[in-house]
Amino acid sequence: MKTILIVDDSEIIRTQIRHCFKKIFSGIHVAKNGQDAVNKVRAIKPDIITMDLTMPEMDGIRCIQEMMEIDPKSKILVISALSDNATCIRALKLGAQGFLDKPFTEEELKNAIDIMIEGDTA
Amino acid sequence: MVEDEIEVFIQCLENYFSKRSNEKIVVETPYLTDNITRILSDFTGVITISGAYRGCVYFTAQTTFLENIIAAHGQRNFSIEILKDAIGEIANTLTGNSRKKLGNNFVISVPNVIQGNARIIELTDGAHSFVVPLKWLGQSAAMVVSVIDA
Repeated sequence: MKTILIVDDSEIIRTQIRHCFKKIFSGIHVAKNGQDAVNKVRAIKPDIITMDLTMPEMDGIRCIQEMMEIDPKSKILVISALSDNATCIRALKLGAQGFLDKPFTEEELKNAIDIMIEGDTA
Repeated sequence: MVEDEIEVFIQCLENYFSKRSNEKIVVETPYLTDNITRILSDFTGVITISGAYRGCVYFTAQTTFLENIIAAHGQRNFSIEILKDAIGEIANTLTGNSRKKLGNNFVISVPNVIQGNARIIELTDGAHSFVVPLKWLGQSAAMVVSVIDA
């Protein structure tokens, strides 16, 4: 069983993701902004991170940069409404492994996480 | 902003609600406005636009409309804080999605949330401000796009 860190400033999105994975991950942690997320990555070293991009205090792009410096093996799935190609490519170049557009269905979210977990075990 | 670009926002609305339930939204005929206070509902999420454009995008909705959205996320907490969270997230998602067509120079802020219509939010000077009214599960909401080229 693995741990997941859910990073999003929206409570309804955090709760939706948490609900989706309560049977899959043994440890589910949440962060409301980028700075909180970076602190939790240092403390918890989660197996998977879901990352919003538009957040107060520290945006998701800067957050990914800091997380990759802390742990270059971080598995980050960006979940964002900023679905333009330039933003997607930037996030992936910084080290994110996947990108899921908001809004998303539960099935789309589970598929995206499954791909990351399978990649981890391959 | 021209009508073709308003169509981008209508597509974003249709996509957003298609992911929330099988019930399709009904987008009513968009119209121009010069007075936003008439349109504001119980809660409004405001996204400030910068970069190649200037102005604001608003999403305004009744409490019951937002309760339906929250329920569609599988939740039953309808506190004021959650209602504000929901309206901000909808405004952010719709505006963020529009960048797929409008490009990453359509720079968006984090959402600012307003409850009620006591606080006046000015429309953008010189912009053709479009209202896109809609209904979902029998409840009303509206998107207002008040944006011009920078």
